[in-house]
Amino acid sequence: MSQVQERISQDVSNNKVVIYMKGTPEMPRCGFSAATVQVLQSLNVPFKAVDVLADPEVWQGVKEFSDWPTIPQVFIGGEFIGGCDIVREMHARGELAPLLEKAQAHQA
Amino acid sequence: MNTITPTALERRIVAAMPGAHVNVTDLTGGGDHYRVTVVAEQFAGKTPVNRHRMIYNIFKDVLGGALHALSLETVTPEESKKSIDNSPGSRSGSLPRL
Repeated sequence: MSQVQERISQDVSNNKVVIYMKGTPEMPRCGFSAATVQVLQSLNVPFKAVDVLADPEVWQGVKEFSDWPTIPQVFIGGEFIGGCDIVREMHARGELAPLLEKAQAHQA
Repeated sequence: MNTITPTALERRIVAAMPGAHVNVTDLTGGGDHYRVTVVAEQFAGKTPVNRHRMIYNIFKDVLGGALHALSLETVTPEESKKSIDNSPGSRSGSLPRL
C-alpha cells in the first residue's frame, strides 16, 4: 500500500466518522461538501474533516481508496458510505443515526 | 470549455442501461453540474453505492473534467411508484446552492 493509501486507511479506522471534502466545515468550498457537512453537524456527532483541496495526494488517493470518483466522501466505522446524495437520502430516511450509534458502540 | 449536453447524458445512460428512464436537470445552466434521476430495473437488489457506481462508470472519461458534478437519484420502477407523493426535493431536502 502506498503511503497515502496507508494514511487514509488509518484515518478512516481511527475515527468513527470521517468526511473528505472541499474546504473546511467552517468554510466549505463546494455546495455538495457544504450540504454533506450540514447533515453530519445536524446529527451532533464528532467527525474528522479532511480538506482535499489542501492535499492533492489525498484528493486523488481517496478516490482510489474507495473507488469513487467524486468528493465529498463519508466513512463511518471504517466503511465507505457514499457521497452527498447517498448521505442525504440515508439521513432523510432516518438510516444514518442508527449507523452512527452502531459505529460508536463498536469502538467505545 | 467542453461540456456535455443533457441529451448526450441521457443517451449514454440509456445505451448502457437499456429501458432506463432518465431525467436531467442542469443545476447551474453551465452544462457541467447536473442533477440526474435514473429509473431502471437494473438497480434492483443493488446498494445505493453500487447504483451510483454503475452511473459513474458510464461517465468515467468526463467526470471531473467536462462533467464537474453529477447529483444522482437512482431508483427502480417499483421504488419510483412508491415515491410519487414524495418528490425528490422533499425526500432529500433542497439541493446545495452552487
